[in-house]
This record gives sequence, structure tokens and C-alpha cells, in this order.
Amino acid sequence: MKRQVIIPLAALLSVVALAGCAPEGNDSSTSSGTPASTTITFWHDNDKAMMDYLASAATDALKDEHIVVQAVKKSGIQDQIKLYGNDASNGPDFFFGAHDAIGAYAEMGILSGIENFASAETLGGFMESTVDAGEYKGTKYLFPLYAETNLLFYNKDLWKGEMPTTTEGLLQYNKSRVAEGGYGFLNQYNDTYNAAPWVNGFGGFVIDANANPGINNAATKEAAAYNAKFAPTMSDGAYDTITNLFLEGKADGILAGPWFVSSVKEAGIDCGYVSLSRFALPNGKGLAPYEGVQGFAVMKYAEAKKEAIGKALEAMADVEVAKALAKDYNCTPALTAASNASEVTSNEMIKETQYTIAQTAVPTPNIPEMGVMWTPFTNFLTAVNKGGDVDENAEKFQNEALQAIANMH
Amino acid sequence: MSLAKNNASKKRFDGTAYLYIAVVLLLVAVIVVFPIGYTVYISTTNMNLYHWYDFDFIGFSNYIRAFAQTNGEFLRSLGLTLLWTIANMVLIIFVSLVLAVLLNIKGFKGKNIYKTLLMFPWAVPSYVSILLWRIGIFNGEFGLFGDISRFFGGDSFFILQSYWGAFFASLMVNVWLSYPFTMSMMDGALQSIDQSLYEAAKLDGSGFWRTTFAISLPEIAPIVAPSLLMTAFMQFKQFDVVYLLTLQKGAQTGAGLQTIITYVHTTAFESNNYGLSSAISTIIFMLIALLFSRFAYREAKGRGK
Repeated sequence: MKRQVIIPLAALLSVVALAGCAPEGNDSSTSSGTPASTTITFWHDNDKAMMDYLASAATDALKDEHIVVQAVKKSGIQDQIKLYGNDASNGPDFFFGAHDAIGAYAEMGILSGIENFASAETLGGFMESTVDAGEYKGTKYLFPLYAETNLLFYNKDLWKGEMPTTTEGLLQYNKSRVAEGGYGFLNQYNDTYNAAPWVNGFGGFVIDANANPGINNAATKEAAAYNAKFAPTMSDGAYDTITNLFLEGKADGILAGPWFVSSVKEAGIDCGYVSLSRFALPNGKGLAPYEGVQGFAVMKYAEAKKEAIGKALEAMADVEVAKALAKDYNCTPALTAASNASEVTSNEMIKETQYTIAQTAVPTPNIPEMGVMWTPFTNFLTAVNKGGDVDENAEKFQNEALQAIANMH
Repeated sequence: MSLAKNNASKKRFDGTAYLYIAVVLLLVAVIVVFPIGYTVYISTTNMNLYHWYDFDFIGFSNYIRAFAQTNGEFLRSLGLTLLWTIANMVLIIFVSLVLAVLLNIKGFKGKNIYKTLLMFPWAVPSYVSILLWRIGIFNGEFGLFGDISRFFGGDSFFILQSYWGAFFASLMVNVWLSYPFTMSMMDGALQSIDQSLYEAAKLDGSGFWRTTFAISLPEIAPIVAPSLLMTAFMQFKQFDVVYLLTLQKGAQTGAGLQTIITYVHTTAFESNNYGLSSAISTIIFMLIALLFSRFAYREAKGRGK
């Protein structure tokens, strides 16, 4: 009796368990002679509605080709890609992410060059800087979709007077607002990414193309010392604090990127945007934020689906798609043909981002060593902003950065 | 003759017993032994970003590197972890003991309500608690610390940005999160003490302090010792408090505070050097195993007496 129950139950469990091992998204055809359909999947850790729109736009465009594109949201996508980088059964065919992680994936050997999937003509249709940002050791890996930079967001109801044209003007504005008991323009002044406009503007760098850390570079030190002048006027510079001060209508401005727009809209703030390139540093050059490029990269093991993936990418590089992303999600298109569309030119934030990219923006380094620079550079900035000796701390954290880089090997 | 028979049946019993626990042993091997063994194996390889799939055996190089790092980061984090463990244990024992003794004062009304309230830190997920502490208490602008500073005419200050400030803040949160477990153990142990001892002490004219140090503490010590030992190891490998308060991606405060576990995390997930981080993990495992076996041996010996 027991055996009669246990054996079928065990068989059922085995079938269920093994069914879980079946790969998702594969070629399928029906026995009735209907052409085979191909399902390709990309992972992302982005706005779900935007990614679903991209997948459905590509699926619609490829309806006659029987190609179905699926978008799957995965939190902590960088770790997920590393984990599934060699797992064709469970990993994605391609993924959507920022260009600065490309170098690490390329070194791991899990990516296929994007030129295997997109023609030179298609890639030539993107802004050159966005394609270059995804290039590592002579191979292009990224199919760019949009670019982003930090901008000055300001509350139109709070900002007093004309917008300054120099960083000195900004500093004076902040000082006067603090003296009045308010807040001027806020920034995460200890954060590497957010202090980069000062560092790059002074001619310094976090890390160069040859993986040399730039913490003890003379221009970097000068930039850090200048950045520290802003610290006393920017509250504690912590993300939670400054975003809340701005969203609660207590601060006049904040340094932020397109990812912050939805929160600003939800808070009902009448917000204006100014390119950081419009603020001249004491050396006469504009602030130079990092430029991030978001796009698709294809897994090496997905080369067998070359045709389907190539067609999906081409479909997503459509002008109408770029316009929709600009209109609904404030994305600055990488596609040159979309640059002059009304959806793009009428968007103040995109216009200012385009201006920054054209003027002073510096692509975030995509070499793997950049991944270990965030912590020592942030610690260096924190030490200087607290009044620590610039030279002493530059040497200390330069050594920490060198050690962190050595630890990678 | 009878002794031989006994021995034979004992042997047969042992064999059957192993058969019975074979499934459990297999599970333990898969869930516990295999990951440890695999970590030790990885620690002897050069598995890193540049050798993600094609890693080779490199012997004990990673262990030598861990101790010989030029900036001494590993040893510094190990030293800080020892200080962290000691400071936490002293505070946790003190806070727990005081609360447990107070809860056991005879005739104390509302004891159960207080006990429930005191267990509150245990009931809230630590992730939520830590973030609440970070924003609600330590934030220079909106937090309690900032308010206190401004009340006394000072400026807003952000305690998590300095090394020792972050250490103190992390310690505070960790004690808050950890005392309910120790307190409940001590409370239970105090309740199990034979009341006649207290009555006899009272007749002898013994006061509160004398009773506490001569009866309560010696009586509960053997009962709470294993839980304290466990708590000490939990403090040694504490991760989330220090990480979420000072090192969380996008919200790094620049305090530079690194315990041994956050250091391993940084090495593994920022440097992507799994060989080196596995070697450090193995060293930590050996340290804990060594200490634990020593304490367990002492305890077993104590019980044997």
C-alpha cells in the first residue's frame, strides 16, 4: 500500500524537479507546420515599465519574423551576470546595463563583441562617444541606447535671482542661503561620482586608461581642496539627507541625474535643469561630470541566436523608440537621428544633458580597476572635506587604491 | 563472557546507528562540509576576474598575501574585529544582565509588558532597524544626534563619517539588536534559581548586591555560558550593521571602518578576487573553530567534573 503511494509520488516529484531544469526561452515550433518562433531574453535592473516597453516594441517590430523579446528584471544585475556568465541554460541572452561594467565582463570572457550582432552602419548611427564608452581593449561590446550625466536640478519656486555662471558664484549663493538659514545647491560632496565634475574639471582623474589611480595627482588634489569649500554649505552631504531636503522643498537645488526625475515629479516640484558645463571653475573650464551610457551587451554563449538578437537590437535602435524613451522616461538618445526630434528638443533635461556631453562630460572609465576605486576615493574626499591634510590623505588613499588594484590579481 | 557479549552488541548498535543517521550525515556533508571544503579549495587557486573560469592551483600564495599585505589592511581589520567583539560582549552582557535582574525583582508589576517591549529589537528585521538608526538617529540633519547637537548650540554633525564615530554608532546599534537574546537567556536562567537560596540569604541579612554577586551570577553562569559563547562568535562575524551604516553602495560615508567580514566582502565583491577572499574566509573559519573547540572542550571538561 505504502509502496503504491510512494513510487508514483517519487516519480511525480522527479518529473517536477527535472522540469525546473529546463531552460527558459528557446526555439519552439508547432507540429501543425506554423513557423518556429524564437524567444530571446534580456535582463535589466532598470525601470520595469521602460524595459517592458522596449521588449514589446521589439516583439511588435519582429512579429513577422516570429521573434519574441522578453525583459526580466533582476536586482543586483552585476552580480547576477557574473554568476550566470557561463550558464547558457539559466542566464539571459543579453542584458541592459551601464557601460562602466563592460571591462570587467570582457575580462571574464562572458561577452560577445557587439559587432557580431549589429552592422557598422547601425553603430555609426549612434553618437560616437556612446559607442566608444562601451569599447574595451579594441572591441566594442555595448549597443548604446541612451546617455546620462549629472545636472543641477533647481526648484524654480525657491531659487533666488539669476543662475550663477561660475562655481564661485554657486559657492557664494550657497553661503548666503546658509546665512539666511536655508540651503542652496546640495551635493553628495564625499561621493566619488558626485565629486567627479570638480575632479575632471580641474584636469584630475580617479583612474587613467592604464589603471593608474589619480588620487595623488596634483590636479585631483587641487580639485578635492576646492570641493571641500562647498562641504560646509551642503548639510551633511549624505544621500538620504540632501534628497529629502530637496524633495521637501527646503533646498533650492541638488546635483542629480535623470533617475531622480520621477521622485521630483512625485513631490510636485517645479524643477529646472542646468548643465554643469555652464559653471566655470576658477581655471575657466566647466564642471565635467561623468557620462554614463546605458545599453545592451550580448552573452558569448548566445552567439547561436545571433540573427534573432541582431534583429531585436536593430528594432530597439528605431527613431520612434528613441522618441518614446525621451518623451516618457527623459532618456537622452544615443541615436543621432533622434537628436532633433521634437520629443527630444522640447525636453529641457535632455537638452542640458546633450549640452554637457558635447562640452565637458567624461565617460566613466570602463576598466575593471575602476570598480575598486570608489571606496578609497570616497574615503579620500571624506577625509579632505573633514579638514584633513590633502597631501597626506592623497598619499594614504593612493596606496590603498594601489593595494586594492593589486588585490584584483 | 557477559562483557564480550555486551561489547559485541555495542559494536552492532554503533553500525546501525550510523546507518540511521546516514541521510542526515549526507545532508550535513552537502550543506555544511561541501561549501567549507569548496571555499578551502578556491583559496588555493587564482580564481579572480582574470581567471574566472580557467583558474589554477597556486598553493598557499593567497594565505601568504593575506598576512603580508603592504598596507596591513587585513591585520588592521582583524584587530578592529577583536576590539569590536570584546566591546560588544562587555556591553551586551552588562545591558542584558541589568535588564534581566530588574525584570526579576520580586513584585515587579507589568513585568510581561516590559519584557515584550524589551524584545522589540529582536522582532524587527535587522535591515529595517539599521536603516532606521542611520536615518532617524545618526543623520546629521534629521536625526536625533543632530537635534541634540543643535539644541546645545552646536552644528549638525554626521557621526558615521568618522572612523571612531562610526565604530561607536555601529556598536550602539549592534548592542541594541543583540541584547534581547542574551537578556531572555539570563531571564530564564534567573527564574530557574532555587528561591530557597534567596530566602536563606535574606535571613542572613544579605542585600541586593550581595545576593546578585553571591547567588544570581554564579547560578546563571553555567546556564548562559553557551549562549554567550554563541553571541561572541556572532559578534566576531557581524556584517550587516557596519556594512549598512557605512559601506552600503551609493551611501558610503567614508568612515573607512572595516571589520574582517566587511573586508572579505570588499575583497570578494569589489576586487573580484575569490581566491584571496576565500583564503581570508578560511583563516576566519579556522580562528572561530579553534576558539570554539577550546571553549567547548573546557565546558565539556567542566561538566565532567
